[in-house]
Amino acid sequence: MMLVDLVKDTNYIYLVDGVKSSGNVSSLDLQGDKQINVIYDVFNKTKIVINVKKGSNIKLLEIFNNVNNDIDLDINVEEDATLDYVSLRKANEKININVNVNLLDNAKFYEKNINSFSGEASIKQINNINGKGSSMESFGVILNVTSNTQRFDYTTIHLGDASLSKMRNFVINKNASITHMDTNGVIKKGIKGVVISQKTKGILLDYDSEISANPLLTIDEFDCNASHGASIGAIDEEELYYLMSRGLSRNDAEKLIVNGFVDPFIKAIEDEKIQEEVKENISKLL
Amino acid sequence: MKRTLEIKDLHVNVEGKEILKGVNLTVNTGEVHAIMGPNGTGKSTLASTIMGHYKYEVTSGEIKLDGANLLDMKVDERARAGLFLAMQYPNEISGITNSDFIKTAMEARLDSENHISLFKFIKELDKAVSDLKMNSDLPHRYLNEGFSGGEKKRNEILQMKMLKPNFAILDEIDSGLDVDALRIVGENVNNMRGENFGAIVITHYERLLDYIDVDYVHIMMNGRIVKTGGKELIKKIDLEGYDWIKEELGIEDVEVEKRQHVVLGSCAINKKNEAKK
Repeated sequence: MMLVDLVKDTNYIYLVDGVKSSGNVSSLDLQGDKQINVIYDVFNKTKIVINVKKGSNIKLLEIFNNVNNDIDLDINVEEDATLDYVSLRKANEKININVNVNLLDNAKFYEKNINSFSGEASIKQINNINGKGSSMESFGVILNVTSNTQRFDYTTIHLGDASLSKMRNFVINKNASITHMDTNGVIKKGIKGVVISQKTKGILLDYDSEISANPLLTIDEFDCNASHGASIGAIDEEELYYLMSRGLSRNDAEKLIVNGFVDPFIKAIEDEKIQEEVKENISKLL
Repeated sequence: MKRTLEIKDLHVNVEGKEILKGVNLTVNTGEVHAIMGPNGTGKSTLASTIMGHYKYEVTSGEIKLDGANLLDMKVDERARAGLFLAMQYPNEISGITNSDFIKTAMEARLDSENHISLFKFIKELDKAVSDLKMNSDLPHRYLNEGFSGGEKKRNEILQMKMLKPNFAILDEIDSGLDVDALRIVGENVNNMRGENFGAIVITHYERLLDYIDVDYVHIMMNGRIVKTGGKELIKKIDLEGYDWIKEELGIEDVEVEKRQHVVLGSCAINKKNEAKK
């Protein structure tokens, strides 16, 4: 099953350079309670806007199929709406992706993304937590096995009282690859009762790879609960020993442990065919 | 076919300190050996060394499996050659379910073209889980994550039952088990007895050996096996402890490392502020 075959499936919206080519949903103004699956082919620089309308409850699966150029992506979640967003990101060429998330009052944004780009990449995401009582949870996996440098710059700006953001990122590097992971959190003066938490875990699968993680919180308000942290290292030798003592080779044991990080993301994909393909792709990368 | 695990004059260092000082032991399939001894005599070091733990440095001696040098093999090669170590402190690994792990480990023993039938695997796993009276959800939970001490130990035995090794080393598998769990684990180990299975059971106490039928009992002290006998040794140790062996063999306790108190330093104080008070 190739992802591209899904463009013929009426359950998927197929966007070429941001323009709808087939599918049974008329726009990316999303309303009601539903599951939406979107496939991207991008040949020219493209801007895509996703609007989740007031009070809606949307599950969105976003698949990068044949991506060869830069993408600007705006995600707007209106008042009392929820977006459950799973993004499988890959690209054939050097790529820049700019994501701009805007949350209004009581909006909820649950994000899971897996990033496996083939070359250099620069991903910038700004999460504007504008609305009172709005919240986001973001879990990301970055697999960099390309021997290239990839940069991820995630900024969360709290502008709504009693808003919440939680961000967890797992970075896995192999084949002398370099990944820079910057996570920034901002709480503006006068914005009360914010909870913010950001953590990055980096795993190096060889001696020649590098990961840098820079967590930074800029807080101009006392009434908040904030935490951040980052750790980088090799896979725990004791864990490898345990798996190898059952007959797994070192390489298979490493794969199993790394799959352990990725598994919760894969399970978030409801389509079993896509699940299998993602599993297979990740296994090939490792 | 009978297989033989042979340990000859084994000396092992851990972080520069000699722990094993000449261990000799031969185990054949079809035999169950118990190794008993006071704390800190090298029992777990022996278990980890046989399995190939990276922290244990063999300085001299040999371990052979059917005449082949085990020390030349990596940990996974030793496992695939037929060894299994039920660990005292099994690792918790998130994201990997028990059943996926066991199936992967079973498939690691097959050629790359061969796979285990999912139906057969599930049937066998369900039976092993039931034999060990484990919770039925346990195979679907992440490997040892959030397991109680007893569940972890049962999980080690579950893996052993599924992987069917020729030689199992059980490193203090009784610690953390209540009386019922001890009986279940003991009975399951005992049920594996047969011409293709040999075991080394490491324990402090005789209570596990109430359920496992052992052929030989070895007493380990100061990094060596100092006495070997039959089941009668278990009862005697339970009643009298280990002191009579020390007296009988003239063994002196290894001198405990002398430690001395030293002053590391003191915190700085702000004399200016002190003066103001």
